[in-house]
Amino acid sequence: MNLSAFLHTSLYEDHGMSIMGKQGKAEPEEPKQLAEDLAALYAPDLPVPPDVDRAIIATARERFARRRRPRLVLRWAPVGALAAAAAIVLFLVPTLLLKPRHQASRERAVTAKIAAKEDIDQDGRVDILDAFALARHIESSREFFGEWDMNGDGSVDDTDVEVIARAAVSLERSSVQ
Amino acid sequence: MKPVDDPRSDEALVHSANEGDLSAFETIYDRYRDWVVRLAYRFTGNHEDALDVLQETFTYFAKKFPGFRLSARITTFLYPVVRNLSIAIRRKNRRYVSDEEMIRRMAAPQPADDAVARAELAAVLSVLPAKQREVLLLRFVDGMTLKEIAETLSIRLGTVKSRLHIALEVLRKDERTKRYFGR
Repeated sequence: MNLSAFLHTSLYEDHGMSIMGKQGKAEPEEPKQLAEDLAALYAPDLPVPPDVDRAIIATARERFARRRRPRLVLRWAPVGALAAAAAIVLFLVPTLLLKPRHQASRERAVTAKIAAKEDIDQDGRVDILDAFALARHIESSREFFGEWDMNGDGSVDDTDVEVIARAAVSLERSSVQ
Repeated sequence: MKPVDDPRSDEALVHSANEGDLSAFETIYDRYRDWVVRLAYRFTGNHEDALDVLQETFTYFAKKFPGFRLSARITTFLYPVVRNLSIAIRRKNRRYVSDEEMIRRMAAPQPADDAVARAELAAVLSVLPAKQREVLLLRFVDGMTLKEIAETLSIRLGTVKSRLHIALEVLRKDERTKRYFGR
């Protein structure tokens, strides 16, 4: 065949022809002898010694084994995290309970001073839960008490929630000092 | 089951290898080992270097698991790896051989009947620019489609067609190789 015919039928339309026969039948108009001679030139029989095979597979085995180990770690990671969390709680709770007496009494005093107004859930302290409680009240349009008007603007809304939230945060800071 | 008898597709093997199945990786190795070593030899011109490249290539490939995504043929993934490793090993071992010299060496040990024809082909190939020769070999020696060549070399399909067209034109016009085209 001539070259231009070959290019138009086989190359430009790209039928997926394969000289090696891996992807489809070789078409009769291909320059078959060229393909064979190129293959002979560039694809000589090059033996691979068995020890090279073994070395490569051994390396791969090692890699695959390494990859499996982290999976085991990941599998047990939640359990480990849970144990760590439990240990932290066990350590922190007694520490907090055994705080110096004067520090605890100061916190109580600060809490009591503000609790009357901002202690929405009336649990004896002002914290973020009070802000949440007021937010829930506003959201569900329940009955409002005038005393929940934290900023004195005549209405109970999100700005009052913010006032409680800020108070809760500043209380925590003051208790640390 | 021996790797050579494994009927699974490359996609299935990659999936299994991602699951930690070493035998799937062994089958992939068995399928592509000879291709890799021949390709490496094409780049290095040295059997020992080609074996080094083979080892490095599959060590690199093994590191890709789990998590390897096969978006094209395995040869498309392996080709640039083999080429880059071959260049590195050739530099490291300071056994640089010019492309032209490499082609002449490859042509040398052929049987007497074919020796002349192939030596002439090798001579013509030696004057082809490396990029055109590369496309020609990927097409005729490795059996890749034009699209696969484009993906492998990260070039446009039109560029592949152009390079192949020019390379074949050179072969067709040369007195030593025009017989391949029936004239």
